[in-house]
Amino acid sequence: MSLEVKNLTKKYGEKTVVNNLSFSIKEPGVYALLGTNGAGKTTTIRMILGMVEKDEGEVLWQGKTLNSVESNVGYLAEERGLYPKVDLMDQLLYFAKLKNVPKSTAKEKIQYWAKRLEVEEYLYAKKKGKTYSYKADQLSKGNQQKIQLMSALISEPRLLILDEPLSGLDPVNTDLFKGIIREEIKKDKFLIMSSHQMATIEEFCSDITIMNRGNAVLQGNLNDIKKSYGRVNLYIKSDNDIENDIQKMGLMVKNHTPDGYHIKVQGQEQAMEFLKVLMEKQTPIVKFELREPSLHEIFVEKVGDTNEEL
Amino acid sequence: MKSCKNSVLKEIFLVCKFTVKQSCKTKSFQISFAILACLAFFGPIIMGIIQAKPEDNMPNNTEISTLYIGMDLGEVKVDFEKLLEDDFYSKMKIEYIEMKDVEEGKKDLEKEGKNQLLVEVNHMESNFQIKAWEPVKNSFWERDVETLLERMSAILTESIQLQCALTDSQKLALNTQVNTEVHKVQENGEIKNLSKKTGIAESDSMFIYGFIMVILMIGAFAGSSIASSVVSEKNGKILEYLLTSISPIGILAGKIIGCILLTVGEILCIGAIAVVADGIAKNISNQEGSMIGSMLPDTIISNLSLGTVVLVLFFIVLNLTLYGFLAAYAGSLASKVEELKDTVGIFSIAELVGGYLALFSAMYMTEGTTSLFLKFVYLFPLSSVFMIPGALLVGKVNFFMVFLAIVFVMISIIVLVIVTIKTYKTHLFSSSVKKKRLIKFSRQ
Repeated sequence: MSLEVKNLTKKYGEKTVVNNLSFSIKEPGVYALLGTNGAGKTTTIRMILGMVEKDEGEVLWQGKTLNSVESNVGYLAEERGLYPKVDLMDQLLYFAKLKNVPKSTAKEKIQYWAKRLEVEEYLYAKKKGKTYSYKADQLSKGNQQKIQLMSALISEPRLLILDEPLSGLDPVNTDLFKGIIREEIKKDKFLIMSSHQMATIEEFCSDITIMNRGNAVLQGNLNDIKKSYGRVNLYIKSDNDIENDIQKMGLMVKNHTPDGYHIKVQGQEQAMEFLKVLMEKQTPIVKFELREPSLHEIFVEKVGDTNEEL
Repeated sequence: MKSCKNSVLKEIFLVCKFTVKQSCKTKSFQISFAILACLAFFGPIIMGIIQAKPEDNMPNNTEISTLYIGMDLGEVKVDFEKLLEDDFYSKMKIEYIEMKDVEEGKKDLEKEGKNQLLVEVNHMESNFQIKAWEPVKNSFWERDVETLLERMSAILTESIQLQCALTDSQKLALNTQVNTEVHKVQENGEIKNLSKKTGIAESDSMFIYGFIMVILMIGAFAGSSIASSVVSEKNGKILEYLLTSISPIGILAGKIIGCILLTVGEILCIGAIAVVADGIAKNISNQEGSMIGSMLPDTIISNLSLGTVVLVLFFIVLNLTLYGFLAAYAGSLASKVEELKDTVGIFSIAELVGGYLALFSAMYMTEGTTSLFLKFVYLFPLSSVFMIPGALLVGKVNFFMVFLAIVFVMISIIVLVIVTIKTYKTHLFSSSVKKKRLIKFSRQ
C-alpha cells in the first residue's frame, strides 16, 4: 500500500504554481509538505484530492489513480469550513452519510470523538431535559477545528491529509491534536501534513518535501537530510569569556545568547579541536553540544528567510 | 481501504434531503411560510365573511318608508308602482314629485320624518341614470337602497323594451354577443384561408397574467436561494470538505432539486390550506359554489382535468429546474457572497425576459391565440415555462405545441447543466470575478 505523486504540474495562466512535483509514501507515517505561503502546498493537496484539475501528472493510491470521492480519504482543510447556522450533530451526520458511514456507526464515532476531543458539551448539550447540539457559529475557532477533525476522522480513513492542523490552537489543544495524530500513526495510517511549525514536523514526520514557488527544493528522509548536512552546529557555554578563543580558531558565531554561543563548524573534527583548546586552557565548560542543523535552519537555508511566520 | 463512494443518485438524494431539512429549519423560511399560510387560510375566510349572503340579515320588508321619485325620461313611460307588487316593498309609499322640486326635496328629506328616500331618474344623451338621495340619520338595512335601485333599473329596462314592442326572441337577440369571422375565398369559390377571432376573454387573460406573476415570484425566490446557497458553500470553505466525499454534480443537482422540492412542497401545502379555508368560507358565506372557484374564470373550471393539472405542475417544475440551474450558474461564477451581485444579473435578466415575454403574450391573447409571436413565446424555453401553464388552463395551446415546448426546454436544461457543472468545477476556488471571465463563460 502506498501513495505515489508523479510529476504534478499546475498552471494558472502564465504562472506555474506547482512544477513537476513528485514524491511517494511507501510506509505508513507522516509525510510533510513544507513551504512558505504561496509555495503551492495547498494546490498540491487539492490536486491530490482531485479538487483541482492537474495540468500534468498523476496521483496513485494502491497502484490506482486516487479519487478522493471513491476512496476513503480524510481531509482537514487549511481554511476551516462548517455551515455556521446548522446544528453540529446534523453536520457531522451529514458528512458521515456522504462518506457512506451508516448512521448508527456515525453516532458511535461522534460520541467517541466528542469525548476524545472534549467537545461533548457542545454536541450533547441539555436544555429542559432535551439534548441538542450547538450551531457552528456558537463555537470558538479552536472548537470548530475539533469538529472538523472529527468529520475528517469519522470514516476511519487510511489516508489522512491535514493542511495546517495546528494553526490557531492553544497549547492545550495543540497537545490534544498531537496526541490524536500519534494515535493515527500507530494505526498504520498514511498522513500528509502541511505545516509552518517546524518543531511539529520534526516531531512527527519521517519524510519531507520543501517547496518554494511551486518547485520541490529539498526532498527525502528527514534524518538522512540532516545527516547529509553533518554535525555542524556547536552549542557551547562557558563561565569564562571565550570570544577570543572563537576568533582565534576562525569560527563563525551564528548566535550569542545568555544560553551560550551557537557556532557554525565545518565538522566534528573542528569542534573537537576547539574543545581541546579550551580544555588546555582549563576553561570551565558548562555546555558542549554538537548537533545536526534543525529543520528550521535547513528550511531557511533552502527557501530563504522570507516568511515572518517561520 | 473500503470504498466510501455513494452512487450519484444517492449523492443527490443526500444533498437534497439535507438542503430541504436545513432550509425548513431556517427562521426566514418558517416566517415566510407562516405568512403565506395565514394569507391562504384567512384570505378565503375573510372573503366568505364579506360575501356572506345578504339574506342572512335581510329584513322581511324594506326599511324605506317613503320613496320620492322625480323623473325626466322624455317619451319613455315607466310605472315604478310595480315595485309595490313585490312583498318586500308592499308597505313602502311611493310619491312622484316634479323635477323642479327635486332640489327642494333633498333639503326637506331630514324634516319629513325617518327613512325617506329621494330618487332622481334621468335620460342622459347616451344612457339612463338613477340617483338616490337619503338623509344621513337614516338607518336602512345596509343593502336596501342598492337592492331598490337594481329593481328600479330592471323595471326601467322592461318598460323600454315593452314600449318598443319587442318580442322575447328580439329581446334575446338584443342581448346576444356578436362574433366576427373572416373567410378568404379563391376564384373557384374554395375557402383558401379561414381567419376567425380566436382571442380569449379578458378574465382568462388576467388569470394567465396572474398565474405568470406567481410563477415569476416563486422562481425568483427559489433562484435566489439556490444562487446564495452555492456561493455561501464556496465562501464558507465547506465545499472543500464536500468535494472529498461527493461529486460536484451531486452537490449542485442535490441542492437545486432540494430547493425545487421545497418550493413545490410549499405551494402544495399552501394550496391544501387554501382548499380547507375555502371549505370553511363556503359554510360561512352560505354560498353554493367554492369561494376560490367563484374567482376563477369559467374557462379554467371547464378545462380542469387531472392531465392538465399534472402538465401544469410539470411545467412549473421545468421552470424551477431551468431557472434553478441558471441561478446555480450565476452562483458558480462568484466565490464570495459580495460577488454574487455581479453575477446574479445573468439569472435575473433571463428570468425577466422570459417572464415579461409571457406577460405581454397573456395580454395579447385577448386579440388572438394563433399569431406567430405567441408561437414563439410558447416555444422559446425562457418564456414557454411561464406561458404554457396558464395557456393550458385556459385551453388555448395544443398538445403538439406543448410537446415541442417540453423538448426545447429539456434540451436547454441539459445544455445548461453541462455548462453549469463545468463552470462550477472551474471556479471552485476562484477568488474573484472578472467581467472578462463572465463574458467568456457566457459565450461558452
